[in-house]
Amino acid sequence: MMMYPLNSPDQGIVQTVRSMLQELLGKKLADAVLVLASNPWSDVPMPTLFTDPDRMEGVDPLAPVAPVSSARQASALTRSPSGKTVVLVLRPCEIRALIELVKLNQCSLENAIIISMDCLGRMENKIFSDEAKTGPGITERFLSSPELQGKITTTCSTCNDFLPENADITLCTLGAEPGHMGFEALTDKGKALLESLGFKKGDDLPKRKQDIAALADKRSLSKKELFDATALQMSTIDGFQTFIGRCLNCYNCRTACPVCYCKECVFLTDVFAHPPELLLERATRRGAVKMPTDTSMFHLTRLSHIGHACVGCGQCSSVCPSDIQVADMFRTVSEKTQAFFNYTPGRDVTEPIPQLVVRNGKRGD
Amino acid sequence: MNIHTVIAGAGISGIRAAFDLAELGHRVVLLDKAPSSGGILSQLDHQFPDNHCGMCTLLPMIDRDKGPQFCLRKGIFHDHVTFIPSAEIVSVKGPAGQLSVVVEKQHTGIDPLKCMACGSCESVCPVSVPDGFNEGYSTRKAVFLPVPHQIPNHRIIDFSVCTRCGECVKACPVSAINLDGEARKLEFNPVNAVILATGSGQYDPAQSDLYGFGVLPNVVTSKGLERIMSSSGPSKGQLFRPSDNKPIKRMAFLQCVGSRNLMENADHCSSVCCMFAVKEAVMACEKSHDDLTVSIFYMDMRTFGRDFQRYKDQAETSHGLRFIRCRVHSVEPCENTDGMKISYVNDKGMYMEETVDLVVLSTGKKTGLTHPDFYQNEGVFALSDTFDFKDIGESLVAADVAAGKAMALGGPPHTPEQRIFDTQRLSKKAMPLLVLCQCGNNLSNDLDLDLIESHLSAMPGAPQILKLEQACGAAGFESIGTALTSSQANRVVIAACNPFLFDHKIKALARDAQLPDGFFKTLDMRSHVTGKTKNEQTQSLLSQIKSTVNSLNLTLPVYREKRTVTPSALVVGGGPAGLSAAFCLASAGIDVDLLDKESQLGGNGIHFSPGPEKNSLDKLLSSVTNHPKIRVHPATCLTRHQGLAGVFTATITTPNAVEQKIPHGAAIVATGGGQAQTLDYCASQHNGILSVFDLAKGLGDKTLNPLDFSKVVMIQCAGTREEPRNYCSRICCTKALLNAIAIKEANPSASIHIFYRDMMSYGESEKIYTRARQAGILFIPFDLHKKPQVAVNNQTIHVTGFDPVLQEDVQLAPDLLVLSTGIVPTDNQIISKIFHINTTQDGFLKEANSKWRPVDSGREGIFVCGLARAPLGFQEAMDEGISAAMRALRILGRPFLETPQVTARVRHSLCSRCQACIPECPYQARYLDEENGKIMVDSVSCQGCGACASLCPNSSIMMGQFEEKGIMDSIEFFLNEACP
Amino acid sequence: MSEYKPKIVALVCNWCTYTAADLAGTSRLSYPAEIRMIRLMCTGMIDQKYILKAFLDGADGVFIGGCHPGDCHYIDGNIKAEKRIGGTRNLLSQFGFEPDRLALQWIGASEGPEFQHNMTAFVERITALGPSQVADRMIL
Ligand code: SF4
Ligand code: SF4
Ligand code: SF4
Ligand code: FES
Repeated sequence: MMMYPLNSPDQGIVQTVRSMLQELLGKKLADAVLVLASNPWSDVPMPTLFTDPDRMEGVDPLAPVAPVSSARQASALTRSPSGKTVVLVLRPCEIRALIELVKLNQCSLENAIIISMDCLGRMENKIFSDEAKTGPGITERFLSSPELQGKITTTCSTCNDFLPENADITLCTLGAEPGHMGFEALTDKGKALLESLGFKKGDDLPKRKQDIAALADKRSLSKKELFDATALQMSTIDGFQTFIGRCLNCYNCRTACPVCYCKECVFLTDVFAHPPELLLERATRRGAVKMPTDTSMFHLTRLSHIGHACVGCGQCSSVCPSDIQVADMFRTVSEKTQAFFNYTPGRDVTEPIPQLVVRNGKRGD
Repeated sequence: MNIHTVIAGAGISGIRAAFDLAELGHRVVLLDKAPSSGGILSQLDHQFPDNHCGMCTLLPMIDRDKGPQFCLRKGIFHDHVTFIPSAEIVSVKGPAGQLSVVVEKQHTGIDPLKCMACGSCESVCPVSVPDGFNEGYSTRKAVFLPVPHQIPNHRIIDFSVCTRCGECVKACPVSAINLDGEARKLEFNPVNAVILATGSGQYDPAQSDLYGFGVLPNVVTSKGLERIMSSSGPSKGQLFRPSDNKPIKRMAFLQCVGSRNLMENADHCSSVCCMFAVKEAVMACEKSHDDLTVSIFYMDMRTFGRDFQRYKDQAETSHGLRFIRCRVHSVEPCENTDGMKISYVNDKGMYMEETVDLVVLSTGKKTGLTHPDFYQNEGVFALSDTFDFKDIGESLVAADVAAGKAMALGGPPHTPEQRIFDTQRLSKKAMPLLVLCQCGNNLSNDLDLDLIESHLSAMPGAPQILKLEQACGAAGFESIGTALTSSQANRVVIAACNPFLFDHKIKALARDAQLPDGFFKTLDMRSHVTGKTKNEQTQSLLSQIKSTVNSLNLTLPVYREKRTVTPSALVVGGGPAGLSAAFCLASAGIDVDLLDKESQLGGNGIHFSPGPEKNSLDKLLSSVTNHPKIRVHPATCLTRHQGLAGVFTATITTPNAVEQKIPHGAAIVATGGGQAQTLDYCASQHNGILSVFDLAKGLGDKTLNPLDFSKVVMIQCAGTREEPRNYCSRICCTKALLNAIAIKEANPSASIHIFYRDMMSYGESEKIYTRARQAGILFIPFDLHKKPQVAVNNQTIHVTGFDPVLQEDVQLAPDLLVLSTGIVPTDNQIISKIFHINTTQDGFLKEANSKWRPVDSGREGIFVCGLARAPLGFQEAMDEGISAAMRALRILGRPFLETPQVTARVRHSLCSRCQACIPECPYQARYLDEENGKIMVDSVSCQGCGACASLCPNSSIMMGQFEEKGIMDSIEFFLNEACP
Repeated sequence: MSEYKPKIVALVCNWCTYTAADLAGTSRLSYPAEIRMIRLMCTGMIDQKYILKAFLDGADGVFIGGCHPGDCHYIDGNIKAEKRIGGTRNLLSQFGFEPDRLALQWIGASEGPEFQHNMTAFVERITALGPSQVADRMIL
């Protein structure tokens, strides 16, 4: 544990972190930075890739919103070697997703530096946007207002994986007095970076342990409640059907999902393009069939494909036009899948993906 | 049709030789005296050393579509192999290459073309005799099914027991039975070669009254036990005592029954019985959930195969097998029970008795083998003179050697048939033709074909339907042909009985219609006649038809990759195995680049002392060095190996450090091995302590004089057959025996003690062991926990060993101590990396399958042989070299390699390149083409298992006729049918 | 309830279990009519979607038959299948499908009687479980 205090009583935390990222580019410690930033055209900050420190005025890494999973953007950025060093500012769940994508050769962390934060959760876009309109400094307000913190998504309020793993640097918001946060270096890379930026080692945040424990307890409790209720609903076909009853097979959930890495979902390919005769036959057999068909098939298939890798980010729920809490189902079911395979997604790039038998007789090199 | 080779004996060796030649494009006739193929293996469900089956692994892997794609136990089907059951060669005349071969085919009473396999004949036959397939533990009729799972599955009549009552003739609904036929003579002329793979037969223990076989019902042979335990056996897989069907609690195996017995004139070891017994013991323990005590009474446990020692140790520890070293005196019945009393003298010299429920006699090879009179003819090749028993891998190697000799007699080069495809027709949307055979109205009571017809018209991609009276006759085929020319149909499904009859004809139809063979499917109507209601049967057939038609509709024409083969080979290693491989390939007209890192060829053979081995090596050396097709690269290293089967490139570094690229179609790795070193037994502390190999060399080149030694001690298995080198090196025992005999013969007064664990003088080497004992050499067995102790004090060697017979220590102070240190491979660390092939835990190159693919590496086109693969004798290594060459010729003997029907294909537009599929492939057929950023499938290595396809979440892998969509549709059809 | 005949899909590998089924057929060992057999080259070819599809389409049971471990024609397709099917069973069980409705058995080529026995036992097991909850739903 190495804490580098970050004192910003005057500037405010957002500005302090922003300056730090600017300096990072300015000093050429990295070639680019991927981070949430507001822009004039969107009412929510979007992941933005910066190379020019002078254009970073909108950077808002702690904004309690995530319109898309930055893991997907990070993967697009590191898919093939570019030789450039990129700083990725990611939420803990986004890092977990990224680790899963590394295992699937969808990206590489070789030239990446990951900065993350104690995650207090994110709001749905609409709520964030409404709250932001009520006055300046939504991020700072959020960090200090338990009331605003209560407006985070169901997924976030039931998530107890809010501390980043596999980051180089964590921005510690838990356990700090307002204006006195700290960067924690988790790797040598992180430590070197912080030191080149002139940060000095300091004391641990006094209340950190305590605050973490308190939040974990609270989240675990609500998580258990949610999972129990969802599991109960899933345990019958009728419950499951009711849950996904108004799904329109738009596949938004799979598009938003950071670990659904297929180029094209199999449900969009000819494998599920049925001729009219077949649809009629389906209806004939049962007398009636709900259209579009293959909805249960879609959700179960997605669960069987990536259940082991679900990082619980909640994006699927956020994007669903039918307001289906897809993530509740995914997280609940996947937790058991992951226990079954004794697998924790996003924990370690070397942890083999279950269901893939890794052969001893690999094509070696 | 020109027959290249006639092979007698359709056991696995015969089958292998047949496939070898067939894969080279030759036509082969394969026959067997028995009414079925498979030889003894058709009676064994599992074989050592992995207790698995895997017989189907023997099927051709390249150009798979020419062969069958089902369990080999069902029979032999290959475009180039004609199998004739119940037949024998009666005469062979003429010069090699121009032989006239006369075959006598027994009359078996039933016309296979008429028979519908209904079994009516069998049910009425009044005769009942012991069933040979079940070793007499069940009975059969005079008309019977010789092997239950074979197709064609018509019965045959055993005229030796048939009473000619004529009941069966009356019972047969299709008049397929004729009791009065006679054996037919078939002549094949000209034939290039004949291969005899008839084997030697098994010793019959009834000829000795020692163990009560034939008298005591619970004394069985090892083969008998196999049948007793088999699922297709008399008790359907339950392990029961034959006399009373009671469970067995104590079982004893008696080894060497009919082998290693001078009184029976059997001075040989049957080589496989030890492992066979261990395997059966394990199977028996598993069947009875270890509620069974198995004792194996043996003289030496001959675990001389590379992986056998560990197999035995494993069996011993996990099932508590008892191994007792002794010869059993007698087996006597117990009073009032069906048990038996076994008496023996144990290794401490004590008289012992035990009762058991079952005695298993490990019967070996039969003695007194007689050869047919044409045995010596030119162009006739026997698998071996003595037909020794061999394990599966070795049998296949022997078959390859025989096939190699037959091949050397010439024959037409491989000219694969050039197919033309009607691409226009194929590119149109799928138009299926369904042929429904009414089987001369025989099926009208069981299946409602009209109903099928009406249902099908509603399905998507409905087929055009052709109803025929009888599809299988010539007229039937003509109608199918006409229907194909007069329509635009580009897929054909034929529903008929006995679809196997159609195999050849369908290929002809496909050729004429210029459609791929795979676009023709047959399905067996009769298998839906299952004794249920007509409606149920019809529904069941209907859904199968729908599913077949649909899958075929969804099958796209295979893009046929034609990979032009580089017709040359790379052989790495110039020892006995590499030399013989190179020579075999060159004789077949293939250019060979032979690499050796030494400047002199010959490998370990350069140390041979004058004698037959040296002569044959010298001969081989000179043939290789003078062969115009062989380029020898001495003192050269291989640095890189890339490419795919048929189109490899090697990078080599010559002695003057020049890099050179060698394109080739197949590679043979024969990098050899050498003697192991040991630190045990004060090995390096005295110059009177030598290895068995150094002594042999010294005696040979006369640098050592037998007269210098008056007291000699030899210790076998020094530092080996125990972890970490827990394998037998196979040749040390025989070498030690020969050394000892050489010393004793030159210096009769010398005393020679040999400490051994198990004397591995397998096969005919047993004679050497006998000779050594007769020469007065003393043999003292030892256990791992009582190894002899060696100390060197004041320049004297002291050996203390425990003599179990005397039950006391013996102290010896030899002037020569010889250690059998065993064999280790040489360069495998590097070589396995260069070729991307695997090694065993002891560092030997690992073959793809030790039984069925003994010289294939895990990668197609790369073959492993010789000491690099396993400890072997000189002749064995040379044979493996030929075997590897024959395997390589499957590729090199063809102008190009084609993509079979069921092969994985990648839809690159869908693939996310996650590469998860790459390690999933059991044949290393998948790889990432870095340059193009695409996942590629080596269509020659891919065997179409579909493991990659089921793994890929994108469904970007297509599997020919097993497309996902087709399978899911089938599921839907079947379930629709089930709930109408 | 006495009328109830379960709907069962059997996915069997071409090499061993299919041969055993064939053998059961030629040996006249009858097995229940409720079974619809689909032959695949290897159990390793079985996509999890097939199992889901069968259940969602109203199958009361899915039986998967392959070669004994070590006997697979493709070396270890059956081992891969075992792993995947374990995952699918776990998944389905969370949606109220009794895990027993999905069976994986190794049946060797010469094990005709085992084939018959396993099939009969499976049908009995499924009959005892009764119709799957999906049966009459109009969902897929
Ligand atoms: S986003 Fe919602 S509606 Fe769209 S496929 Fe997913 S669950 Fe169905
Ligand atoms: S598993 Fe599928 S997506 Fe992944 S690399 Fe293989 S073919 Fe492509
Ligand atoms: S895993 Fe795929 S590429 Fe490999 S053999 Fe099986 S089907 Fe072919
Ligand atoms: S071939 Fe039978 S399970 Fe693989």
